[in-house]
Amino acid sequence: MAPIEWLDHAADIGFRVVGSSVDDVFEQAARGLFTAMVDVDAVVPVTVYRTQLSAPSLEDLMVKWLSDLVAQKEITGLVFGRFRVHIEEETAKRHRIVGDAWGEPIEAQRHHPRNEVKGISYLGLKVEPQGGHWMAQVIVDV
Amino acid sequence: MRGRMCVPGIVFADRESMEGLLADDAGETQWSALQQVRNVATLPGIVTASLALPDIHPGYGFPIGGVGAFDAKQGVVVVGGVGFDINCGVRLMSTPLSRVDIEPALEVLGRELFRKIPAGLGAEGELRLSMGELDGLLREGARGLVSRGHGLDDDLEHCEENGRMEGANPDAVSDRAKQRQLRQVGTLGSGNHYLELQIVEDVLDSAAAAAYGLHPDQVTVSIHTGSRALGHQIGQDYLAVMSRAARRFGFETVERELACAPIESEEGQRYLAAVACGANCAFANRQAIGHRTRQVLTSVLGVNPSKIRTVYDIGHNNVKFETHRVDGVERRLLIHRKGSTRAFSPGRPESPEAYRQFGHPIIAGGTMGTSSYVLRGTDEGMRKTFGSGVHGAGRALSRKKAAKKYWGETVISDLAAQGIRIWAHSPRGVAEEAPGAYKDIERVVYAATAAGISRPVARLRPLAVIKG
Repeated sequence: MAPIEWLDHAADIGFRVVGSSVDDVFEQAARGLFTAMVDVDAVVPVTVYRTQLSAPSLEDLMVKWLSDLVAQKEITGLVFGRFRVHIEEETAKRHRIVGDAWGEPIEAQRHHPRNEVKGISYLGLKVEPQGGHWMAQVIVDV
Repeated sequence: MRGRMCVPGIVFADRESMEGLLADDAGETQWSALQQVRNVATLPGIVTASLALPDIHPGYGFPIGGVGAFDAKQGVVVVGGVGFDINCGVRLMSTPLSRVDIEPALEVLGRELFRKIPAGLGAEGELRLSMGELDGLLREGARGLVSRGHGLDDDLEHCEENGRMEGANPDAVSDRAKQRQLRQVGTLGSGNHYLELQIVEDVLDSAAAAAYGLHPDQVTVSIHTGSRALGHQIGQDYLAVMSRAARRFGFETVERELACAPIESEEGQRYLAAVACGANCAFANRQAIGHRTRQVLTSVLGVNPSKIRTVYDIGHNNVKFETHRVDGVERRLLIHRKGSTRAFSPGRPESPEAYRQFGHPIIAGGTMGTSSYVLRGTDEGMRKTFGSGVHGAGRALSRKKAAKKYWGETVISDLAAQGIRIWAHSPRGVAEEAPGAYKDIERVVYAATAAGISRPVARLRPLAVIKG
């Protein structure tokens, strides 16, 4: 698993992740998102949340996927640490994701809360192939 | 890009800040606030100039510290001109206490506030509302809580818009936004949000300070928070709606977060109705936390609750219809302020009657180690910035750089040595929010004063800070 590269954004938090495939880079981005919030290695995969989303581009799909996880965290009080994603081209102009996220209710003592991510930005957003891998760059609003 | 600008960009900043902005613009970092000033200048119906105030730094769409005025008929409403944390702002409260009253109890008081004010990741508010009750809050704002016994009528007198934006329609807000908010009413949040116990360190305009009920050595409370998850979801939802609208109306927006629609379009009107809900949610949130703070001060120090007054509650991420004189003509404009407060000069009817002679207070938050300022607006500011003022120090270092440079525990002990106590849920958050990560508030206030857009009234020094 390639390390998360944290970016120098003035006010918020940005990260860049690399994956071996499109599916993998979406999983890594979700891991980056939750690493900004908690110690993801301390999250026990007790509950699984499944989501299905579609969007006209991989960038839009990334924003939808991560925004959905942020919303789920707030609605249920769960934090997630493990992810499995499958992405397919629904049509030539539409990508679809089926994503699973495993986690448990947040517990400050064990999860060491960091920043509360409130939203996912389009600023500087990238999801693109890079030298045989896939790279995603995301700025999150805290 | 310059060729597409409909109006000039005007930035109010001191020489050092301007040099930093120009360096960023020349490509030293990926993010350029000046480019965002140019981008805003390309939007349809923008009037006079795309403006940025001395606390300018890169945002989403608009820069933070950005102001954009649009013709109410020909102009657009822009998601990035409001931001995601709709009506994020500061409530300043005054107390009858002085430093000697509070210092012996500071430890107990800070601990009790830390315990009673939900803050940080995953914290939940005590108010449990049904979806119907939440809709009521989105319509009524702070008034909705005062009518339930969470505050005093006097609080509402001293809130911008009396704590309730007109035109709020909860049907314009998605169920997801409401569901995200249900656990968060009355929570402080994390990041740069805070609750501070402060001391009035210096009065710089005694007549205005007296009108605001502030005097030297007085203990005050500042609460910085916003519309929490609800505002963010409104922003996210309407970014998609307004992007589609922008395409339909043939607008070429140069940044995704500048998605916009004509003010009078169905999408524009619906977004404004949703923003009013977000604004009311933020007013209610600060009302809930302010009331809880009042209860803690009463229980720990026996203060008469009616003597803990709201000085003013003012937002710094909002969009409003206002009347301004442009080239000698009164015009109705839609003013977007992103990381900027309203800063009206004396005499405007929008200010509470007791403050009208001086204009309403502007609250510019400092850092956990440096002072905050109360300022007031000027006639020059009405002409130069559509009556807009600075909202705080503004970040100078990224969170990554700050976390690398500072260690949370060390920041806390260094500040303790200066007589400032910190209670925080996240040591890393403290490092990211270290005073050195921000611009010098003194320079920001100096630049705003030198530009003639505001006048300092009082300086407030932190004594104890609650962070998420």
